[in-house]
Amino acid sequence: MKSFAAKGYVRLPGYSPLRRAMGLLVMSLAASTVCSASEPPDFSGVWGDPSTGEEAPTAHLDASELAKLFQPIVLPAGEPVLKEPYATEYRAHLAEKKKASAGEQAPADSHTQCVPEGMPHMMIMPMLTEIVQTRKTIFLMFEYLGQIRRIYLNEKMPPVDEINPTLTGYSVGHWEGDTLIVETRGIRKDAMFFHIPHSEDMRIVERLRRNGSQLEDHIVVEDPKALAQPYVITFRYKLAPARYKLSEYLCENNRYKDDAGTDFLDLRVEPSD
Amino acid sequence: MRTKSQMAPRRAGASTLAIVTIALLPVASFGAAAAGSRPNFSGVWFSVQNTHHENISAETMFKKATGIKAPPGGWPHVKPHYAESFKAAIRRAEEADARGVVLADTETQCRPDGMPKMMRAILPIEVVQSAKQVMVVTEEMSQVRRIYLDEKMPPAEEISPSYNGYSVGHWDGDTLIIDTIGIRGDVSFMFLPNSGKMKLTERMRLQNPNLLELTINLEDPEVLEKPYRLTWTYTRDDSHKILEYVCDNNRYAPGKDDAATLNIDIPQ
Repeated sequence: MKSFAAKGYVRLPGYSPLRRAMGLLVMSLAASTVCSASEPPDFSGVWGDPSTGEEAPTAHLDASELAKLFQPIVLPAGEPVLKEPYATEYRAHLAEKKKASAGEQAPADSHTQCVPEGMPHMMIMPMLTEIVQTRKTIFLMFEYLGQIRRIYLNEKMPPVDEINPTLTGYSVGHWEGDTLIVETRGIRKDAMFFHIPHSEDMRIVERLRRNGSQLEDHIVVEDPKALAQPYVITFRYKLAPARYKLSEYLCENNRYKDDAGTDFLDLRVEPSD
Repeated sequence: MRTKSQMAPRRAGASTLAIVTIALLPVASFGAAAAGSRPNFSGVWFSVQNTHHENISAETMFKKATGIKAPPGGWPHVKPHYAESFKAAIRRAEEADARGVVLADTETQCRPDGMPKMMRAILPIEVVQSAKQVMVVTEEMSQVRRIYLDEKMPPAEEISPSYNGYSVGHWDGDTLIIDTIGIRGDVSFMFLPNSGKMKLTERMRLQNPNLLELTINLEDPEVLEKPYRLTWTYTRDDSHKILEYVCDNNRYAPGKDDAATLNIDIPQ
């Protein structure tokens, strides 16, 4: 790079010390840009088809078949090994859910209440997700619930007590070769992965890698207060064709009904099937 | 958000410029627009109209935020067929405001503002620009607007109506011209009726690197006597990180013993 810069430089007419300084500045900027930016892969694009990269297995099922499929819910990485009192709390959540399902009621969770899923649940990506990668930030724009996640690159994680807890948490990332390492802290305690409770100390470390048209997210959830051992999940996403565009997603609280032009609140909860 | 790649070409001689441009090509799609002559709108922007609010009362701020006042550029000229319902909507909002009642409008129902209301930016907006699209992400309601660059507008009947509509943009020098159609018929701007045939033409440009200007031309031949035009400006503050926004349906109100109670009284 050095000799190339020098060669380019001597060709410039009208040599002056100022121009020389400018030229070197420009070339050094270009060199640093190339070195830092040519290495990391580009995750930009629309991603979908979670896990297998194949068509969603639920696509052709009717409502009753779907209901069977989701009862009981199979955790992507099996049951977590929880410490007390989190284990008791988790069992209580599951019992509530079972009771609601038996009464053909949809349990009031984030999905029925139109509240974002948060981390790490959002990474299941039941719908398409657009990734926009810039030098400073990686944006994940989820079609489902219109959720947005930002990963700030090459920034230090602030002290946890300075993070305002959010459903998505605060994420910082850096590149290690072709892998994006993302650390997330500050996740609200009510953002739960399949009803699993967690402490305010939960820390998620992700390793994201692109292999052609496949993106892999290896997720390690650490929570020394709640988990006896880290909970590990791997999701894979397939790159969607370039023509795919994300749709607007509106989760309207479904207790609100329109009846002959008059808005009214429907306090009944529709059966889950 | 001004990156080294943007700064470099302006300072370079012609031959060096070529080398730098070639060197930057593989960087990222994000850099492609930046390395060319197009301005880069990427960054976090605060509305000038909504940020000069020092030393004013909460009531005034509410009025400014809710738009119960003449919109910038004055009230639009509405055709006789729609004039009465337009006036009635304004009167209803003013009366509710006087009584201190919050109306069940899009904001209290956690519905998106839609276009062009979302661009008034009562909370900051983030622009993310790549070679293919310009995204506008609002902090309020976490709305995402996509403006597809150098794409043809699909036929109106093929567009599924949405709050933000379907936007395509192209460059006219340093100005991004944005056409938008396909806005849902229930999206209202400043109490203005919407026939479902509303068409927006926006001109977005940088007055200077830290001042973004957006001029909106709103046409609706069924509703408006003549197109309605307004201009909003935004100042840059890239130190701000857009916050997570969760609009929890606020029909839940504190009841007895401050317990959350479902409030089924909907002000009409």
